[in-house]
Amino acid sequence: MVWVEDKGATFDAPIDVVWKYIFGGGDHDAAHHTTRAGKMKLAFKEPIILLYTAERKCGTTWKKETMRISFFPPVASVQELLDGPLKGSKWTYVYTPHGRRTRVDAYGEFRSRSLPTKKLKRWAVEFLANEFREDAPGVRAMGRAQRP
Amino acid sequence: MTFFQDTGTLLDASIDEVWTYLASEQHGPAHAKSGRNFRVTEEVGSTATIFAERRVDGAWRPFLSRSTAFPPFCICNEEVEGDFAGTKFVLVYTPDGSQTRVDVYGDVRSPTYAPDDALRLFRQLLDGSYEEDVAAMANTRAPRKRR
Repeated sequence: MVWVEDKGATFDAPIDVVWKYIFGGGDHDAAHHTTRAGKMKLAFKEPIILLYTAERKCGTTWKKETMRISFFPPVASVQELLDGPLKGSKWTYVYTPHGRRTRVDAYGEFRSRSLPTKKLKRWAVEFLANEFREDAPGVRAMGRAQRP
Repeated sequence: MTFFQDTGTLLDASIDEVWTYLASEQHGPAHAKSGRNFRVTEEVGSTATIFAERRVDGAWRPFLSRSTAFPPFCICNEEVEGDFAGTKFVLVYTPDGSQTRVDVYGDVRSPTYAPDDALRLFRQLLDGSYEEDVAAMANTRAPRKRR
């Protein structure tokens, strides 16, 4: 297992907009190019827990995965991979208001049955950075649309 | 809503030892000074809802809180009823050599106290809880040589 942190990234929108985006606003799903055919199912109401099944791009192939996402708005969300190549991996996003922007700190513990530690760490760092990069434009657009 | 963070606190125990302690029978009694009448009201998956009383500003006050554990790296807590209803905070554990770093992030709310008082009192509760855990962990494991 490898532990990864990616702290200090900032979304250009207030925290309430970020959470609207997280819950499906601004075409959130379409922003992520490394997943497709995503389906959500509510697994639990308090706390809100969703089961998200999708296909994830792994190199040149697409592999099925199931993710459990637990939401604790406005503070954090936790993602757990229940199957797929990185089964057992977990990470959390912690959100903090920063004026009209929102800082997001990510902490993760990643596992893989096939990737060696160094490669897994590199993959995890890039994965977290890429998730942020893909979300940032949609969050910014939502924030601008909602400004008075 | 009042956000806070308290990052970089170190526990003098490995992450395995920390999680073993959190799941152990020593954990509950460690908080006997600051809390009483603990009762698990619901347990579903890794989420436990607990009713208890705790000392807030010198008085015993009832509360209901829900805690969801994601071992080995974080616990998300929600205050459901009581003086801090609506408060949420997350404890993130990260290995740091033979020690464990604890980072806490939260949003404090209160139907009882003004925001500044609520934040001060809630952080006092967290600090007290941390100190009780540190003392209990020190009592439950063999002494370790310090460099």
